[in-house]
Amino acid sequence: MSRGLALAVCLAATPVWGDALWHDGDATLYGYGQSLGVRSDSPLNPGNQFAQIPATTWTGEARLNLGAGVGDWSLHLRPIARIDHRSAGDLIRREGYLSQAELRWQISDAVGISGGRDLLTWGPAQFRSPSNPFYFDAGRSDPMRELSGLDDVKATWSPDFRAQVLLARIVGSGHFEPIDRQNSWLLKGEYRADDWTVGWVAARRDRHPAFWGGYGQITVSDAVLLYAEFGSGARQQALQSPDNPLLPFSVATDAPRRSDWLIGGSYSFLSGETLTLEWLHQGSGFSASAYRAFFARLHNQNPSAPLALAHLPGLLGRDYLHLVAQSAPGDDDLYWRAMGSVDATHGGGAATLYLDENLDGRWGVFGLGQLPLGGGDSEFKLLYDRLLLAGMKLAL
Amino acid sequence: MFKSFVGAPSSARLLVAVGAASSARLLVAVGAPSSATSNQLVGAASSPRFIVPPSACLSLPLTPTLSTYGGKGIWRGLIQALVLLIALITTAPAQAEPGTATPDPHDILIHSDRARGGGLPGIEWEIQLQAREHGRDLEPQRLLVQANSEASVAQTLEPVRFKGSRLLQIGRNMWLTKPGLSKPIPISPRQRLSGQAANGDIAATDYAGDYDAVLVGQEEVNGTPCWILDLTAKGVNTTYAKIRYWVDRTRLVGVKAEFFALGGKPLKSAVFEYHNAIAFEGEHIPFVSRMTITDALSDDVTVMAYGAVTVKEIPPSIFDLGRMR
Repeated sequence: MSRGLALAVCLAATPVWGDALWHDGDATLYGYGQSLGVRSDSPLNPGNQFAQIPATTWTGEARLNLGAGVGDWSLHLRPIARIDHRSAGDLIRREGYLSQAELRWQISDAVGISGGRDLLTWGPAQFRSPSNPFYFDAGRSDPMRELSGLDDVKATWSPDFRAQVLLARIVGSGHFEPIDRQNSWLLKGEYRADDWTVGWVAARRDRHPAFWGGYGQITVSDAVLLYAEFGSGARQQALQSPDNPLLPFSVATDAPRRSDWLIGGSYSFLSGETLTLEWLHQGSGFSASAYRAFFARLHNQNPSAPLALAHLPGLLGRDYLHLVAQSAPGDDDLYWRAMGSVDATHGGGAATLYLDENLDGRWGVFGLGQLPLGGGDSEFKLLYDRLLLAGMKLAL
Repeated sequence: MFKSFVGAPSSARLLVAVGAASSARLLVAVGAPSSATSNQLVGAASSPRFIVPPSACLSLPLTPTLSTYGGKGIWRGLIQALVLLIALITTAPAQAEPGTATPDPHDILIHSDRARGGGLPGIEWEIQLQAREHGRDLEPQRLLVQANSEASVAQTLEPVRFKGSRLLQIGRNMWLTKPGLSKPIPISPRQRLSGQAANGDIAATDYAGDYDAVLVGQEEVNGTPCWILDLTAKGVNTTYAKIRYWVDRTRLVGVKAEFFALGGKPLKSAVFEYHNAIAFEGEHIPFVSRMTITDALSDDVTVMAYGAVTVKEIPPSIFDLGRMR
């Protein structure tokens, strides 16, 4: 099935667009600068010779939301235009793409089909989403880079407002680099009762092992929310770190099946602030010996280090604690969010603070600081030892 | 001919039928034709209800004839009739006054809920939300709300920096999403919308389904005679544990409310105005146009103005989390 199939299927029955009226649209302009404390002594990227990470980046970005509809048809586009200047090589890079683009035909109140580029995300977890085979880290490793959709054709059935079943064929990986699960089938169901929600996920890429996942959440009281996610699958391109540090890195195709799970809970104070705690177990992470061998191999200047950089997983270890404190999302002025992540097995972690101040309803300023913690062999400090970002935004 | 006092709730209307013929009789029956079967009339007392068979209705001769009573019998008959009338009036004075019958509090809630979006197949409205906290006006918000009795989606139209943000509520499950966010975030009901407005305040009201009601008295609110209801949450799935609710006796709409936490601690109070109207099942129903919420412990005030009200069924796909981006 070709990558363009998603759009072609829906365009085949497109109504006369002369009748369509753009009925919705907004845009936000961003301008920000980012400073990274790139480690010259990084064991993974010594002297910054492999990754060539810019220490300073200036970025201008426009994010648009456009929507149109006629009858049972609707179109949603989210184009993004971006230009950045990177200190490494004095490079200016321009980029324009559709982060999301979905054409939808609502056949009846209960049934709809759509095609295009769509965000396939779900579940209550914030740190990582084990029930999702497509976006394990849900795009949170880059706080300013917006998550982009996957190219798909999708059918949804909503027999009532509580239940939904979704069947999708993922035909492409969207704007960014290919992912493991392109050319996959996805079947997902969700049921929402009065104070709990459950969902299950099945995905399979052609001729590869299936992925199974699920999630659930329960509103215990007005203030307390508990939730969990799990997933079981086999990574199709998994970086291997043999226990013997003299052996090189390798990449396994169709690695053994592993399970990941996350449990979490949040408490909201009367003032609206919320405290969230999550525990992630990543069965696909390195064992303690493989983790030690990973760094030993890097320190030995193993020639396979570039391979490790190219296939570096989102997280190396197996158990993580994640803490979030944030103000109420609807607060009028300052929104703040403080996050802390800790590798529970090997130590090390990262502390992050995000601030967003509303100036006059349209103008706002924001800033982000991140401080990786731990010694030189902390995975959070693999590439840089501080991150500072500050900018302005304008809502149109 | 029948005359119905509109001021009384439907479950407690006073019906008076006056015959025009010479043998006219005064037939007094207290009941509710709308909820009665063809041969029964429903008594108007407070719970428990009782059924009054037609034979129990008073049937009094107004024009006694000589052939009936004769001589002293005429006077005796008249005296008997007067005694019966006096007894009737003195034993049931509340039923005789329009609007003072003691109705079923659950019925009052069903009526008053409809004026705030409950008990309808679905509703769409716009809310202008303006809050004042700590002596300072917060940024106004404009929301488009689509709701049925158990679920709602509120989409932010203004301010422009929040445009496209959506709040989905199904029972006590709530999610928040906005453009650019990777996925909807589950939130707890305690997280406030803006000012004193809880997330539950923007959805359709279903007090009849969510609360047990007891009629505790009558009182005038700004010159309007009201029933006073004490509402206690049936379960934990409600925004407030207890509510004291003043319902206009004539229009059967809630005009004032006081909200309490589980331990009885007062949280806030609200007054309601009804300058909107909707058509539903052939009736024109007054509909809420403004809700003014005042914090119990401070001077913080939030005003929610309701407009562009449309009664319509909301398709289930509207509540699809996957479409909320």
